[in-house]
Amino acid sequence: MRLQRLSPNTGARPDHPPRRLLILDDEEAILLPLSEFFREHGYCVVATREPEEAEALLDHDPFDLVILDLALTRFGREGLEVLSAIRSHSPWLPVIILSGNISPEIEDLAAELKADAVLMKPQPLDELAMRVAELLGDRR
Amino acid sequence: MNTRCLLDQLLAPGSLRAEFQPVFQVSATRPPVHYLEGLLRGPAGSNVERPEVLFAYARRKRAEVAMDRASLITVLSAARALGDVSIGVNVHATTLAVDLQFLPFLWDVLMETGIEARRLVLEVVEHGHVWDRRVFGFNLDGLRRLGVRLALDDFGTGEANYLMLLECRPDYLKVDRYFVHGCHTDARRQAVLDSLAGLAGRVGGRVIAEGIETLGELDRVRSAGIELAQGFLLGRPGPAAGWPMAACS
Repeated sequence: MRLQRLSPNTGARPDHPPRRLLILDDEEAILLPLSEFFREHGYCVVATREPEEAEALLDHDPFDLVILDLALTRFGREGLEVLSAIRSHSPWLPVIILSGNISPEIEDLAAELKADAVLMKPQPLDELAMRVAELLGDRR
Repeated sequence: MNTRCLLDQLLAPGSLRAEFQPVFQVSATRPPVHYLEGLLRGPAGSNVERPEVLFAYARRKRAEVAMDRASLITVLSAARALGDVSIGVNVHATTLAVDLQFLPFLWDVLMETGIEARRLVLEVVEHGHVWDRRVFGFNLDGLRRLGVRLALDDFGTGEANYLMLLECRPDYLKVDRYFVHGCHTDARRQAVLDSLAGLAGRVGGRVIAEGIETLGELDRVRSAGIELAQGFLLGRPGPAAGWPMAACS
């Protein structure tokens, strides 16, 4: 993914704790730069490759937004399955799905599960950051 | 590229570590340590360092048995440095309900670590309610015959309820911190604590009040007749090296 300068829509807000993002992607080559990018822009990022680890974290920690890979093939799970689990206990939580292959069927399923955005991989990081800020109501 | 599943990494030797937090007999003038609860920790700095996330992850992976076994090995190995004090270790009720090899496994760990069964307090935690009472009863009977004491953890919340009280017949009822927090200023919490102290007396167990953080809470717990307590006011979790043998005896 392309690293681009981003401002002013970041997770750092004066007099507020940083926004907390949970990022789930089974590919470290995507997870690491994505996490680093959002950390550099003031977000508190918890990154994980495993869906069960993400679910355990969601059980115990508050997050402001989740970025979710659609195909978690390394662990035999689908991102939509994780989204369904998130929706069952945190229907208010903004969720962005990233996928290398977006079909109308996937869009329909994601909409049914109330995904807040379905974005194509690779996604320019500045555009992704804009969507995050929009969903968090931080865009000025 | 790290392709190993986190669970495999966690269960590898040396990955997990134990800290110990005291349960004090607060009815005494100079409260002695009644036992030290061994608390499992994930790798430092990882997402699963905290035990609640670590065990939630294990449950999501349906790996309670493997994680409980790793916990027993980790805690009891670390406890070898602690002299003759009793040691508490958490174990899922589901593990006791499905693992027919639990008793021989535990016996091997006790032999390996040189810790006598009478020093062990198994703190039974429960997060589900569908389990085989036959296997559960078999394991509990065996544990009692070995001299292992049983505690029912987080009593009063979730599945740690009256059914478990009757099934488990615990030596200790660990009252969840929810009922202790602010109990000195909350008449309803006081009523719950008074009731549990009376109930424990009738079923042959002793109450342990969890989560004591203020002197007011400690005084109120004592006045309810509760003799055992645990919490940050009394002692925070720390590594085995922080508990010299003299302090534990």
